[in-house]
Amino acid sequence: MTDEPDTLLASLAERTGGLEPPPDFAARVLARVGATREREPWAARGVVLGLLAAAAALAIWVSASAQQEIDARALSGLELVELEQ
Amino acid sequence: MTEPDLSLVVRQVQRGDRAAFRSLVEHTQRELFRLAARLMGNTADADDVLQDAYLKVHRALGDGQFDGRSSLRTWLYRVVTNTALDALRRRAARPAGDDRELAAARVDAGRGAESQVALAELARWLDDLPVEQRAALVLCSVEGLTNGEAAEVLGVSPGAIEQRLVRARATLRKRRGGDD
Repeated sequence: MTDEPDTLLASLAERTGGLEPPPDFAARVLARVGATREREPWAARGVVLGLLAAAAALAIWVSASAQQEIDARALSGLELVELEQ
Repeated sequence: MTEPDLSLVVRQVQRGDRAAFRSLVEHTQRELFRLAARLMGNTADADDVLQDAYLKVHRALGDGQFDGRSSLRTWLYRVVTNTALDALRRRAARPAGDDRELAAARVDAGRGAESQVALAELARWLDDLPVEQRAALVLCSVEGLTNGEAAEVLGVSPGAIEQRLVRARATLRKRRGGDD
């Protein structure tokens, strides 16, 4: 009883032994590999451009934040001077 | 082609040799196509799965991800099996429909008709099994791998394979009993 499923599966294994890929299978795989390779440099360039854009945006934001802080300090300094007077 | 010869081919592929990759595909496609078909239950899905698997193999070899710790055959089996399991999970997640009819319509009925009939029969037996049990059963009882080899392919312990086989066989036995 225990080997019944395995007997069935062994028979199906034998009967499916003739399965073969279509004749053009390897050619289609190589075409896809070629297409992927052509896309990859562009994808890499896209990633680099994206990183550069993000770095530029970060630099602008840091610069703007620093300027805001300087302005705020200058303003509070001015208020302090006015109060002392 | 013998395994040492394929190892040489792998090194050539790792150096970007396109002809070597063609050679690798041509020498492994029959065995891997049978594996994919038995896992997926039809040749149309097997075609898609195996194409995706070869793309992964090409990328992985280029990135040096195959380090030779497992045999090339085991590694290729692992890539194909994992790709097939992902496809089976996606198929299971889709609402019940006419996937199999669609796949069957894409099959070239003229080629290997007896094999196609047997494949459809195999698919009927395996259809209700969880994908992990299905994979264990196909690898061990159809492909003829040992529990240890199947464990290496699936990245689990031999004990886990044994457990999956016991459960899968019990389900099949129950179904066979029901069909009699």
